[in-house]
Amino acid sequence: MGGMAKITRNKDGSPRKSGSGRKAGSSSFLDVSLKQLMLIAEEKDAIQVGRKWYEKTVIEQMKANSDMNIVDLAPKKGDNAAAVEEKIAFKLTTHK
Amino acid sequence: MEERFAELFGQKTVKKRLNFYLDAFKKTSTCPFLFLIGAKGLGKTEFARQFGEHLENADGKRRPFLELNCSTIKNVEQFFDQVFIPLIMDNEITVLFDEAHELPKDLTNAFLTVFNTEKGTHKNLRWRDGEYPFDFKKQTFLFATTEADKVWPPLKDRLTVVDFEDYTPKELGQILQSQVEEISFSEKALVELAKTSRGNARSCVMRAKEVELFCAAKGDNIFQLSDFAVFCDKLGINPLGVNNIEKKVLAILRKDGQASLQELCAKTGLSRTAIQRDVELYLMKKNLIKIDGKRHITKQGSDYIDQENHVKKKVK
Repeated sequence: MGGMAKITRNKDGSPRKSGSGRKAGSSSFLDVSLKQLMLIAEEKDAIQVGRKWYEKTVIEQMKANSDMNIVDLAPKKGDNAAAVEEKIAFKLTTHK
Repeated sequence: MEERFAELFGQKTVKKRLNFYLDAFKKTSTCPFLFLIGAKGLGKTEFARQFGEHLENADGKRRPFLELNCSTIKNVEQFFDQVFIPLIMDNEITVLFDEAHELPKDLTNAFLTVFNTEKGTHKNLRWRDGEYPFDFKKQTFLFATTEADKVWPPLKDRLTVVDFEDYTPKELGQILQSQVEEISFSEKALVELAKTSRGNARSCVMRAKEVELFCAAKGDNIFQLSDFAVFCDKLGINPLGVNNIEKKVLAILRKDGQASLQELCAKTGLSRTAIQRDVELYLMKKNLIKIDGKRHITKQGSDYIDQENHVKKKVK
């Protein structure tokens, strides 16, 4: 008789569905050339990139080359999610 | 040379300074972080808007103007998520932080870093996992408040203060007249009307609307001193814009000649602070009372109450 299969549980304690999760060897990232991206995006558009890659390459590069001041600011207590949800009142006037 | 701020009255010094910064902006594409300070209704926000109208992007187009009410900003995260990233970052824009004394503490702290620019026109703020670039050639930041004393001094030190002066009765009259050009005022009536605004330009605009309604009901477009008395009676407006609590204090002092603060508290039912802060300041400003330990009514104060009683009888 075979033993029961090991159950993997989610954070809330419920059993995880079999087959869910990343398959071994698969990756969430893929290679896209900047040229390809520029076909669909403009200079000001935000492109989601990996945080580790960004920290390793972009920030290091900026630190090394630019005259920009890079500062650190530690997160403060009281920055709660509820406050983030509240809308800031603003008025934007644009001209043709 | 084009005349800037032409449709705004008074504030000559402010206009001169803002013109100076606009001229400098044309050459450098940068502007100091201006901090507009003054009592309510002096036109800080309106001047900031007009200032923004004259700022141009690199391509010569007028720069968008973003007006933020700081009392609705709760923290740094909310500011970057809702405003900085979608509207400011990498864009050419003018940003006005109105009611700047309401800025949350953590954003004030962040701004100490951002606006500390002895040299250069860029600043990068790193916060949590993000980088937030500020480019002061692309972005112009303005601040405004009535309560400059509540702004954290280190932040205030990083800003260039532009302080607003009181309007003269004549300038207030011009503001009022400009709102209702079709109505013809006698000079005296216009000055008396302007005085009821308590030096507040915004009140003048509101008063103009009331005059418009009054004249429409009356059936003509002429407003004279005789109309002023009827107008005030109908709307419960006291001369010099004195409110009813201030008038009550004046009436007490007219009757008794003088009174201690405690006596005024007892007779009006108001707290000491309320009397000192909300009542006595304006009466002293208008020279209707004086304080030397006890509160005394001045000659102008006595005349004011006597005149009011006289007008009341006449209108009845």
